[in-house]
Amino acid sequence: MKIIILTGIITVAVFAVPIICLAEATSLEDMTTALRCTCGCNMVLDDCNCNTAKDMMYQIRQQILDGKSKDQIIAEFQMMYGDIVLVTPPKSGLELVLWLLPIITSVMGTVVIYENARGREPFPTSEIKAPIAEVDVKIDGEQIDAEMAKYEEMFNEEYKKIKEEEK
Amino acid sequence: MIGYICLLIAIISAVSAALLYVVGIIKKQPRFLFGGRMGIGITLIEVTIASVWLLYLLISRDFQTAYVASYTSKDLSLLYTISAFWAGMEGSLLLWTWMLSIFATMVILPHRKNEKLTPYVGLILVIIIAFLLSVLVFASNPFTELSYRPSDGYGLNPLLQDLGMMFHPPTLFVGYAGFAVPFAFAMAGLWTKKDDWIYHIRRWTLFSWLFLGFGIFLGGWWSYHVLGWGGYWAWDPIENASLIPWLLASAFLHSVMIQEGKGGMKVWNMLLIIFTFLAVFFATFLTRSGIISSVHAFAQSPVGGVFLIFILLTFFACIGLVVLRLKTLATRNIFEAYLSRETSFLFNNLIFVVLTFIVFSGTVFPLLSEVIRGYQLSVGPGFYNESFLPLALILVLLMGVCILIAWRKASLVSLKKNAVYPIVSSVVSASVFFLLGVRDFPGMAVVFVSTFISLAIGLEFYRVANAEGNARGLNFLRGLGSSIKRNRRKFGGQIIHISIVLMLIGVAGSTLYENAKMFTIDVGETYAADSYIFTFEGFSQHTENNRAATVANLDISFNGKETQRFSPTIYYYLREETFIRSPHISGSMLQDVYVVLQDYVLPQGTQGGEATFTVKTIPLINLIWISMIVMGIGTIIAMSSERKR
Repeated sequence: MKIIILTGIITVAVFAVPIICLAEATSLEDMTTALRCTCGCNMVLDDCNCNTAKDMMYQIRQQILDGKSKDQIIAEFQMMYGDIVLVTPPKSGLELVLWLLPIITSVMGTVVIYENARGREPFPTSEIKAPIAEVDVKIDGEQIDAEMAKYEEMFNEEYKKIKEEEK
Repeated sequence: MIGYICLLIAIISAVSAALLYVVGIIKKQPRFLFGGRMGIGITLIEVTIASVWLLYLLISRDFQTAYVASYTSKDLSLLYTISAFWAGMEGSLLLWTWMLSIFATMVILPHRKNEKLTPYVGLILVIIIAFLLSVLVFASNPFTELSYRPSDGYGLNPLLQDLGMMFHPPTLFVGYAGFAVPFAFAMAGLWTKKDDWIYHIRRWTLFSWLFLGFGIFLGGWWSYHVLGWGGYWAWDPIENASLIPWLLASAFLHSVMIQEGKGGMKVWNMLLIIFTFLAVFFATFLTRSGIISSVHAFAQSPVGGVFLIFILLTFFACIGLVVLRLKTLATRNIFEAYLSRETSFLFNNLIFVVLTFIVFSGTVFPLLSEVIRGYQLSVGPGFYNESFLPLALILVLLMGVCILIAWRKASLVSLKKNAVYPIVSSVVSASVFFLLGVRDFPGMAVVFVSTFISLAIGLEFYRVANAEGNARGLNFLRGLGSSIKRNRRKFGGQIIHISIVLMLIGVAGSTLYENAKMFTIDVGETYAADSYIFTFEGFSQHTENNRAATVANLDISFNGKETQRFSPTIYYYLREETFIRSPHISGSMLQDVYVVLQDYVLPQGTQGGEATFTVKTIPLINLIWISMIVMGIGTIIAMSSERKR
C-alpha cells in the first residue's frame, strides 16, 4: 500500500512538471504544421515546396516578428482563406460533430460494457473451451490461500484420526 | 483478345459454379457441389491465363493494348514494367481477382474437412469473384485495344518507379482478398446455424491481417524514402481507408477468443467480420471512384458506383441474415466480473471501434462538407493527432494491463501484486528520461507506457518459463522454449504486442523529436548549425534510362567527427517533363539523417552555383521498420499453433 501511494506521488510530481511547463509556441514550425498550403496540393504548409507555400511562410514570419500569437495568426489566415486553410478542423459548426462523435461513442460503449460485464452468475467451468483453457489461468493469491486452508483442515482432521487410532 | 476471352470464360464458369452450388445445397446433391468446385477451379485457370497474358503483353511492350500503352514505355526497366501490372485500375482489379481465385480454390480443395460449411463458403466466394469479373469484363477491361499501334507508351508515373511499387500494392491486395475467406465462413456459419466457423478462419484472418499490415507499413516506408518530405503517414483518405479493415480485424482477432472459449459475443464477432469485409470494398470504392481527392486515387470512374451498389447490397443482405438468426446467436451472459480479462477485451474492442470511427468520419467528412457547404474540406493530421493518437496510446497501455488480469475473475489483490513492479519501473524510467531531457508530456507518456508493457510482457514470459521449467525439470531457457512451443498462439500474440511497442517508440521518436533545417549554400562554402557543419562540394550530373539526374554533394560532420557525404538528387523525367526529388538517407538504429535537395542553380561561367537543402534528423524511425519484421515473426508463430476446439 505504501509503495502504491509513494508511486502515485512520484508519478504526479514527475508528470506535473511538463504539463505545467507547456506553453503556447509561436515558432514558424508550429505555424507551418497548423496551416495547409492553398495551392490545391492538400498538404501541410511544412511539406509543400511550391511558391504559394513560400509566400504563406513569408507572411507567417512577418506576423511572428510583429509579435502575434499562434491563435491570432491562425485566425487571420482563416479569415483570408477560409476553413480550408486549417489543418485541424475548428471545434465549432459542422466540424464539432467530428470532434464529438468519438467522445459520444466512447461514453455509450462504456455504459454498454458496464451493463454487460456485470457478473450475474459464475460461468460453468465445464463449458469453457480453448483458447481460454489454453491460456495459463492466472493463479489468484486468494484462491491459493483458500485451497491451502482447505487442505490443511483436511490434513489436520486425518492427523487427529490417526493419533486417536494410535491411542 | 486472348485475355478478354479468358475473362469471359472465367465469368461464365464462376456464375455456373454459383448456380451449381445453389442447386447442390438445395437438393443436397454431392455431384452438383462437385460441379461447383470444378467451376471454381476453371475460374482460377482462366483468371491465371488472363493474368499471365497481361504480363506477357506488358513485357513484350504491346502498345496496341491500351493498358500497356498507358503505363509502360520502351525505356521503362523490366522491374517497373512488371509492376505496371497493378499500376492502373484494371490491372490492380485483375490482380485482386486472381488472388481471390487462388484463395477460393485453396479453401474448397480440402472440402472433406469442412463438408457442411464448404459448399456455402464456396458459393459466397464465387459470387464475390463473379462480381469482380463482371466489373473487369464490362467496365474495366485491361485488354482493351487501341484502333492504332502507338510507337511508344506514356510510361509509368515517376513516383511509381521505385522498389516500393513491387511490394506495396501486391501485399495490400493479398490482404484484401484474404479477408473474403473469414467473411465467407462467417456467412456460411450464420446460414447453417453452425458455430464452428470460427475454428476454420483463425489462420486466414491472421494471414490477411498480416499482409494488410505489411502493405500499410510498406506504403509508409515507400513514402518516407521517395517523396522527400521525411514522413511516412499523411492521413490521406486512401491511406485511412486501408487502415479501417486492419483496425476492425485487430478487434476481431481479440474478441474471437471469447467466442472460442465461452461461446459469447457471437453477434459482435459476426458484425466485426462483416464490417471488415465491407471496409475492404469501401477502400476500393474510394480509390476507384475518385470522389475524394487523394494522391492515391485513380481518376473518377463509374466503377466506383458499381462498388458502392455492391457494398450496399452486401450490407443489407448480411445484416438481414444476422437479424434472421438472432435467436441462434443469442448466448447467456459470459461475463463473471467487472475485473476480468474478458472485460478488458471489451474495452480493447471499444477502443478499436472508436479508432475506426475516427478514421472513417475524418475520411468521409469532405463528402459531407461538399453536400452541406458545396466544397470539400479535407481533414488534416491535426484532427487525428488530437483524437486518434491519445486513444491509441490508451489502447497500447491496455495491452499491458490485460496481461495482468486473469480470465473469468481477477481480484484487486492479485492485480496490485502483478502491477506494482511494472508501474514502479515505468515511473522510474520516465523520471530517468526526464533527467536525460525528455521534458514533454507525450514523450514521457510514451516512455511510461512502453516500459510498463515491456515489463508486463517480460514478467509474463518469465513466470511461465519458470513454472514450465520447474514442472518439467528444465532450465530457464529450455523452460521458455518449451512454453512457447506449447502455447504458440499466446506467445505469438505477445511478440506482436512487443512489435506494437517498438512501433510506438519509433513513431513517438520520429514525430516528437524530428529536427529540420532549410538553408541555401554556395558551392565550396560551409554552413554551421546545431553542432553540424555542412560543406557543399558541388554538383554532378548524369543521364539514366529515362531521366536526367542532378546530384548535389553535401558533406556533413557532427561535433567535429568523421565527415559523411550525402548526395540528394533531383531527377528530371524526360518523357513526363516532371521533377522528382530523391532524398539521401543515412543513419543508424537511433537516428536517420535525411537530406533533400530542394532547389539549385548550376554554376555558370565564373558564378559557382548554389543549392537549397533541407536537412532533417529523425530519431528512432528505423524502429518502425523493425517492428514490421517483429510483427511478422509473431504472426507466423501464432499461426503455427494447432487449432483446438
